[in-house]
Amino acid sequence: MSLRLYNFPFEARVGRRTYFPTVARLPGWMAEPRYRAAVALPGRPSVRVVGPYSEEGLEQPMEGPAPSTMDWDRIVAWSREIAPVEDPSIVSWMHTCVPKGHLVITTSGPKDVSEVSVGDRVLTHTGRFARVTKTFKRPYRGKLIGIKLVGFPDTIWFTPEHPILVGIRELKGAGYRRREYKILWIRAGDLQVPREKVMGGAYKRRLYCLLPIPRADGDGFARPSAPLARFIGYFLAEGSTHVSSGGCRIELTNSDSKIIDDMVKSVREAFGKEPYVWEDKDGVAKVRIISKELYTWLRANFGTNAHNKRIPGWLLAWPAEYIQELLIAYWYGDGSYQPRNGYHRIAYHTSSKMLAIGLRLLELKLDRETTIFKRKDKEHYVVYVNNPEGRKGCPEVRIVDNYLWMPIKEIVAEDFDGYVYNMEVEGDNSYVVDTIATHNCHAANVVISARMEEYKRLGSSLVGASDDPFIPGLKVEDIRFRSERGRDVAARGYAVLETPRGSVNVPVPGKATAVFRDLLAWGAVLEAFLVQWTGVLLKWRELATNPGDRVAFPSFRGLAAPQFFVHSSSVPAPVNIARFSITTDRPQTITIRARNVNDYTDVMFEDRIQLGEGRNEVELPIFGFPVVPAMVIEIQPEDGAKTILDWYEVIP
Amino acid sequence: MPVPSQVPRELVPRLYAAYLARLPRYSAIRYFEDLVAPVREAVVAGRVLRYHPTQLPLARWASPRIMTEGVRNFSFGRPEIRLITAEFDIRRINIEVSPIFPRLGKVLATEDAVEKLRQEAPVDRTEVVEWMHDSASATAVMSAREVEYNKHSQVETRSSDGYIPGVRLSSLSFERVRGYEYWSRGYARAFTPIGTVNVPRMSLRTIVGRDFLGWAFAGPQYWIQWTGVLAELRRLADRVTSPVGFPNLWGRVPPFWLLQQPSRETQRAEVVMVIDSDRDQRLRVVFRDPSDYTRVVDAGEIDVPRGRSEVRFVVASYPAVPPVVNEVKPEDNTRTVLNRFETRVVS
Repeated sequence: MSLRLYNFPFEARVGRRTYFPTVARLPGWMAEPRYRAAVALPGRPSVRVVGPYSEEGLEQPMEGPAPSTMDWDRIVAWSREIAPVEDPSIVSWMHTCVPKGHLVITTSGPKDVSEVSVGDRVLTHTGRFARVTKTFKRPYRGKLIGIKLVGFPDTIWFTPEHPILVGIRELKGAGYRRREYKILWIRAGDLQVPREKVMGGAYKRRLYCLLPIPRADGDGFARPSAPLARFIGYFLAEGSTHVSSGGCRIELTNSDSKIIDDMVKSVREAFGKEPYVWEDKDGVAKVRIISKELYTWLRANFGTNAHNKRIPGWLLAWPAEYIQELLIAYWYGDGSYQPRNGYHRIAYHTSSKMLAIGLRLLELKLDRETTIFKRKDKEHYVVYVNNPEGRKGCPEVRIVDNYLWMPIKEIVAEDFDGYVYNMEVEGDNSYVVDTIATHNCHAANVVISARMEEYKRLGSSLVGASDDPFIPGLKVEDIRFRSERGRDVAARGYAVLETPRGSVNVPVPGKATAVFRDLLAWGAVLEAFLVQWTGVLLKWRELATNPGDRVAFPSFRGLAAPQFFVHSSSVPAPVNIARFSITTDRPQTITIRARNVNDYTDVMFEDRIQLGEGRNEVELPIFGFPVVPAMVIEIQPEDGAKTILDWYEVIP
Repeated sequence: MPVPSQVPRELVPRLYAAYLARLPRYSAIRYFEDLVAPVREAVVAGRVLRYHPTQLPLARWASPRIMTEGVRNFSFGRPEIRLITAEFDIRRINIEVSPIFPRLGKVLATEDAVEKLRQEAPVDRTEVVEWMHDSASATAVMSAREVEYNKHSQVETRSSDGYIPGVRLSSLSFERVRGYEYWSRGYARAFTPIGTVNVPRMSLRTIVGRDFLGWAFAGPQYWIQWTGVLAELRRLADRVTSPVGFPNLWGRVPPFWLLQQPSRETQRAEVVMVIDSDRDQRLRVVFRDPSDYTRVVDAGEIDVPRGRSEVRFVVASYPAVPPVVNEVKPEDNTRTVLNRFETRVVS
């Protein structure tokens, strides 16, 4: 038995609550008062690759044989093998197992399902854009289930076994005045439209199809501005592109002089160009711009002719005021105003179905409900916007809980013989049955248990867990994720990791390191569904000192967690050589930070070191004043790489 | 202060400035020294299990002689019970709410929470299934108890589906089997520092090792999933000053371990406990050797009436009353709260 020196007490208090800080063992000489404030800076590191990548010596989880804990995909596949789902169906709304002719909303605008390819980013049921990782095409002969909606002109067809996201509204209470909303997945083949009505003629229960309100996406590449928004609005409504001997030109057409003036102004302010304005023989004014770059950009993003005009997904990331400008300009060009039975509503007209859907999404961003109608025997779509005052227009189409609810009018079935299309979407591939998130939780737990054992082998302590934080809830000792529904977390864009020292926002999906004065933790959100979401928590309870054995960096679905340990010299010295070995499966740049043992938020230095594939031996000179103090070293590898710390030693 | 010659000259001004900036903040910090139990190892199911033993904050006067002779001569007297009030109302007892599910309010038993959770997130067979409510109710109960315990001691608990995603703590884990396998076999298997322990279905097993205390509960099962709850004590409390509830998991109530240690060396000490109970019950008290938790020094039973009552009993030994581990185990199907626990010196 011996007395050891630590930087923090093993128990600390915030108010009435006790928590357990991350403690680090310090060398005895650090008790000297003048060394407590010692500082350090790094010199130039030297790196050499000395061997190939290998996973030898890493721990396996206690609970049973499992594939390498470094290979996330294999662990998830193994988890699915040991607990197979009965019906693995992908449920991204409107995107799956549908015949040709259905549109999928991507960041480059709506696309036919048959044209979606791997790498496209599609709108998922959570309202975010996620990457397509696989596409499927299969011949299908049998019944297709068609859903006819209020406020959408076309029937949407699915294969019967595929679940779709539906909302149920029930009228309850005295006089059926109370409305209750529920969202769930139902197989297309099991859908039935309830017909029971209450007094007054309203349906007692009503089924709805749901369209998520799209969230901001990082793909936006045109800097938003009011003139540009107005120009795009005019172009979508009245614009056309032409090539002739005179070059590539863009023309905006209108007969109203005020609108023509505004078009000229918007072009001038957005591009700094002076457009050419002229009148044709019918007296219609035209605004012409000659620019090859603008011609190419407009055709690539907004379509090439009136029937395939579209709104790219990145426009949805624009602030509401610019979207409003765009819609106003569009309405000046192709809009109408319809006074009707004492109220009014505005409408947009287009011959492009893709543009009609795009306008609906833009209106959704402004929290306005829309209905789309199609003129009979004509490719002419009208997008009506519900009057927000008194919800007049089509009151059955409404926004509830971040979705546009569209009532199902009718379910029909039809024989089909042809190809159906399907895709696998990163993150939001929601597998039905009880193991949606649980497979990933299980895989994460397998990784955590192996890393915990490795850390313990070094004589220190890392605790962690993965589960659904809404229900059953996720906590690790005194840190936890706030228990919220998946859709709320996804709509907000981040989950809240609560620690005794404060909260940290973890992006969905994404990761965050929680560093406080005496606490080190890490949280990740792997995916979010409607109710469930997958959270991972790690907490360092006691840090290893100069780890002498192999310990892998925890990595969950490509999100790599850092490793924390103590850099400790046996004797006080003004110069230390930190020698360490890191094995990685691909070249990467690691970030190394030295944190103060008295306050982990105090970063003494930060450096980046480029590593090659295989085992890298690194020598990093560290200079201190008056000596190099004991420090907490944080090494953060790149996401997606398999990284192992082989050993770390300090030469004073 | 002399500048070390090995440090490059260009770095010296930066280092010196950073040092001066940190000096007033950190030079006055008092470092903490502690006796640390390292990670220990046990061979379980043919594998090395590294675990964290349950630590005790032993008093400085606890000499080897007291820890051996004192434990050998330990005895305890007849308990005195004084009823403070016959009323038992969970709302009036100052127990904690779950930090994860604060909206559930005060819950001491899983059955208090499970209905509310079912209403909040109904089973939809797609994302929410039955085991989640069971597991969440256990989490709600245990996370609140963990907050209470951790005001005095250090406890780590977890509940989840024992098959997938699995239940694991720093030192304990459940074997991963399907719900029907667990049901047909009749027990779940837990890997613990004392070896593999079979936990019968819907029951609770305490895990008492030489240097380890914890418990495992195997809960209700469905076809594939089942609910497992694990708890391990990392450090024991030597006094309790605010209410600590005993979790009630589908009727099963686990014990709680405390360090019974007078503040100074004495041959007689009085143990005072204030207990709330929802019905008349017989508390079981077991005294364990602090050097080896598996050795029972003495044991007894205390009849506690419904309501709040104060229990006092005298412990004596020679050459001095040693620190002992006091295991308090309420009856199953009860709601019990320990409001106060202290060991007073009797002069």
